[in-house]
Amino acid sequence: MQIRPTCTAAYIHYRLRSLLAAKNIYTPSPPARINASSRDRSASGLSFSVFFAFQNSSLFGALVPIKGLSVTGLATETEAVSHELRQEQGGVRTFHQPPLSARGRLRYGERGYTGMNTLSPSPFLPYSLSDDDLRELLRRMLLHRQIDTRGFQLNRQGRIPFALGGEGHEAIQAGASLAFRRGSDILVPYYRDIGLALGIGFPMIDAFTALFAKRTDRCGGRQFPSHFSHREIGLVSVSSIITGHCSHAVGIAFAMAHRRQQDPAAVLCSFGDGATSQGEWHESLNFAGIHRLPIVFLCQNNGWAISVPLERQMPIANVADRAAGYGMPGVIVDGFDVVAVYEAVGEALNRARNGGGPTLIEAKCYRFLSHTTDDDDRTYRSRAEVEAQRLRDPIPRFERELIARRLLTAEHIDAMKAALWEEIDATLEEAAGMPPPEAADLVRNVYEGSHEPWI
Amino acid sequence: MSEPKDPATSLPTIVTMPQLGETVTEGILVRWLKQAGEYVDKYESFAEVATDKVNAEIPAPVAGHLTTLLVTEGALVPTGTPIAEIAAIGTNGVAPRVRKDETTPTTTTPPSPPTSVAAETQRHALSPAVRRALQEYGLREDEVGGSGSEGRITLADVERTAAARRENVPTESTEEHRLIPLTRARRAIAEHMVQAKRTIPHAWTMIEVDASRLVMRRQRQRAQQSNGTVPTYFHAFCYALVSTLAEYPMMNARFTDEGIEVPPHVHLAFAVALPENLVVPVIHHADRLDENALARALAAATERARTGHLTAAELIGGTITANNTGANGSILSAPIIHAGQAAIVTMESIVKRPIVTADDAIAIRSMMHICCSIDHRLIDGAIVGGFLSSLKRRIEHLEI
Amino acid sequence: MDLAIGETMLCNNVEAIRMTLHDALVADERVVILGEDVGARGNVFLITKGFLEEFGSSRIIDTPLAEAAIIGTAIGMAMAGMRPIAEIQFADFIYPAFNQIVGEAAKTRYRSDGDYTCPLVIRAPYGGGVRGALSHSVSIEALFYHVPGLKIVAPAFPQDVRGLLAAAIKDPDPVLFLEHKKTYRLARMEIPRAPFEIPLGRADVKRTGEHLTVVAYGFYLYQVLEAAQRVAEEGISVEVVDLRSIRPMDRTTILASLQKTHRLLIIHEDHRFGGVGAEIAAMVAEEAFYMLDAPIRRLCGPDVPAIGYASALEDAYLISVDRMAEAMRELARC
Repeated sequence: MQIRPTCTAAYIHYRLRSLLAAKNIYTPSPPARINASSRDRSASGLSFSVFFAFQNSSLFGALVPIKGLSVTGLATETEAVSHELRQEQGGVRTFHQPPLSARGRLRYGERGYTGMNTLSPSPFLPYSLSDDDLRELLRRMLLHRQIDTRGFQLNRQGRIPFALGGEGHEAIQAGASLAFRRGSDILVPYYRDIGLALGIGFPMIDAFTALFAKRTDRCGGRQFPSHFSHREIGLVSVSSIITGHCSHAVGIAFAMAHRRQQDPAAVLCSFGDGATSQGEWHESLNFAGIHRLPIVFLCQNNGWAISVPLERQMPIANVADRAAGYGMPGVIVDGFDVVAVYEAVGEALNRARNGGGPTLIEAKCYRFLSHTTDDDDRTYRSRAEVEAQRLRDPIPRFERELIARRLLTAEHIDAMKAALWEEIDATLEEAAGMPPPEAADLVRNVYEGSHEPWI
Repeated sequence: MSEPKDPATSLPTIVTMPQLGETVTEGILVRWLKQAGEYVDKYESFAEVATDKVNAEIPAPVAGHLTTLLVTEGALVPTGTPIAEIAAIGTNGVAPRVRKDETTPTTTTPPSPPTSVAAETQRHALSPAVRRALQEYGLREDEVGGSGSEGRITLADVERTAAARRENVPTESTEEHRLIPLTRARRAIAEHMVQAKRTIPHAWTMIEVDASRLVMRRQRQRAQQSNGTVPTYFHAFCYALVSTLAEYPMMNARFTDEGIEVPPHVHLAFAVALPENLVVPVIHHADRLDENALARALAAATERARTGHLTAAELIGGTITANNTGANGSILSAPIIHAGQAAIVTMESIVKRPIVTADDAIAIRSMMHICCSIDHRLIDGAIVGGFLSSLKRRIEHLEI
Repeated sequence: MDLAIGETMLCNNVEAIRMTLHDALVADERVVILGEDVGARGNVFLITKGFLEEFGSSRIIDTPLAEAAIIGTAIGMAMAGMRPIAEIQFADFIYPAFNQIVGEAAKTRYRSDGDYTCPLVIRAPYGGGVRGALSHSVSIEALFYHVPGLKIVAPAFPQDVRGLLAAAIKDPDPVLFLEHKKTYRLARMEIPRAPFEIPLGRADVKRTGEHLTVVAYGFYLYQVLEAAQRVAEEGISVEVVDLRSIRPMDRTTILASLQKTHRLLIIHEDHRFGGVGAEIAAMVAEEAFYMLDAPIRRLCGPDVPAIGYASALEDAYLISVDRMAEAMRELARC
């Protein structure tokens, strides 16, 4: 495992020590949580990175030992601390911070990996990324962010009644969309996957006609925004019913396997953390596991199902822990690391395409905004928490990485952003000018023929 | 109705078909003399009934309002069948009579709802199909007997009644029958016609006349006359008729049991069709009038007939009748002789026809038929034949 | 309806369904059958007996005990272009799949404006009279016939079963194919051996008459015909309309029959309140009000949650031939 100690840990370690010494750790306020942002090079040089996870199996490597407490020793101690923290109810805000690794992802055989053992190194690694690929990844992330922003702005302007955004999910969706093989794979997304949809080729104009609910919308203005459908590019019609699509994805994967088509293909099924509580989710994974279907289940775990936090959603720390129950590998990946996500999803898709069966990937991220424009997250979570998470924003992080690798300059990035704004705004206005649906459009496509219940 | 009801008599009295004669088992209800809803006194006749033996009017058993007529006119019903309901008021014979205009409906709409409670409970709500069928057939609810549960009227009942009605009253169309009340004049005409046909043995004959000269003459007159009033074909015909009568006085006569009356004059009666009926004004001493005078007299009488200013004297005394049936395009008619006369002569439509001339050539001529009904008691074929030939000659040799 | 001229064979409903499924599996390789116990067991009524051996486990799929997943997976297969025939072992178990049927299958075509369709058949045995008690006797058509986007069929006779199942499999929209379990082996009738289709949405006049119209579907059809025969001897001529298809429903045949008879009696096993009969009665009241010579009568199952296990309870719930005949008499004579 490669360690990049880019920061020193002092202050928190100090806090940690007092905490451990006290041993009865619970202090509701100030929050006892240990949470910090990333590689913040403060003037004092005492910034650090610490990550807690309930299963206490992902805290290592990031702490710089201070004052004699070794890393391993600290790890052991903090395991006990987290266990005790977990015993307490209420008031304790804890975060499922992903472990920091070279690319922020656990490899097989590493500690913390849950699920079936597979060969290591994996024979299913995706192709390596070229420089253009990396730039494309940034472009996709920027596009996602900017379209989301415009959506929210249009709503606050009163031009559209509703929008939902995936701010915080950009890295996951850009990375996954690059791993998706156009022309053969099928995407069964959920309603927050605008980045994924755009990434696999969904036209921008259709995204906006959906926002404005115009007649030329691919769904005739019938669906909420972000509930796309595009058969030609392999994007399955999105339903508002949470987890309803998971069993459809399984059925589609079955059809793929049944057909034994020329180009091996796989299904990418994407959903959030809340979906994994639905019975149908478990039924879907069960079915896929029994038949070893060519499907990748991608859970975009942003810690919140509207206002219900993760610890109210499930009794375990990681969604991926459930994979073993359904006979498939479970992979945890840092959802703010676009390349890590690309590697994880690409590997899983390759496995699926080559008959290796399904995979459950949990990409951990955070939802920076409210659930939708109709939600106000100030009622259930603190600004401090959101701001702290903001510091982990994947886009600036990746920008910095690309600049550091000399693939782009800041000016390039600004130009890229400006060009995207221009394109977005032009498309937006074009879509806004289109006609709305007519009353006669109401009865179209209820059945193949007439919509009447009487003959 | 504004009278308070005596509870003792609140149940309607049902009147049944009486047995008019010992062996009589059924009777025809010929007609209702009272409308539904009308008031009848005790013993007042309210219906006319006919049996094999006798025709009779039925007097009401109680005083009251004729609420329901249960049988249609012309229906054959067995004796004892209820035919009407009377809602009696007060004690018999002493009850104050309610004025007719208060209770009688002035229009021919269906009768007002029954006023007694029992009648209401007997009536059931009508099903939609029945309601529509009643409307279509022009029947009233009270005219249909109910065979459903508790006397409910079913669709089959309505259709049965409608079919029965159709059989009883032959009409050209199966659509709604209209009943037009008889006016006095219509009644008079009807009676007159019946009497004439009954007493006079009619014989009928016709003759074909070449009226070309008549037509030519009229055209010339029309061309010449500037103020518009030209004697019509009918006027000319009447003059020819009257002139011919001088040769054949028997046509102008009248048969009586004492003998054949031959009057010294000709009082020409002619028919004028009015919107509602027919009037037959008489030109007295038509034989004294020359053609123009006769024409003027005929025109004036027609005008008076149309405006309703004919006097009674003008309507009696005719000795022969002339009728312009051809005015409506008729080419043949078989008229009925006016009672008290011996003949009626009609002038039919003048129609251009191809005829064979004396020298076997085909020519187009204006031809006209003259039809004549005669009283065969006093006029034989020879007389009417001669009369018509003479009339024909007169018209065919008119001076143009 | 033109039938294929050729051989006929004597068939009951089970055999008719089996024959039709077999024809479909042979004719179209996109057709698959999935459900609990449909493979090795051949279905709990032996309808798919022998299919697993003939067509293999990739086409005859024994699913785990998860109705929502059965239907959801079938929806996915249908969206991907296959022709799945999903089976719910007893209609009483369909409730977990309600979300998928009503929330997803019925709306797929509409919400994507035709981009994705759902040519799915869901077969389910329903109905009581087999001492099935609470969970093997229920009628479910009233729950689903309300939903636009679904089609529902409930034939009673082998010929109708064969023709309508073939049409349902070919139909591009989701069809709920309801089989009354009491009719499975009730009667054998002559039906054509060659495949044929009966278009969905058409009712069938099983017996002509003049005095009243009875509209019914399912097992009760057998009883209605027997009752009609009984009252015919008393001079009441009953016209029996077999609905066959619940959604879409055949208004034309019902109204044509009413035009003749003017009296309507609706008989069905499902509860009276909100049952299929309610919609028929409303339609007739709206469109044929002036044809009616008597109030519309519905003879339906009682409004209690379930058919009890005791035979006395079941007999009280179900409508006997005597009760049907009595209702016919009453309506004809009122």
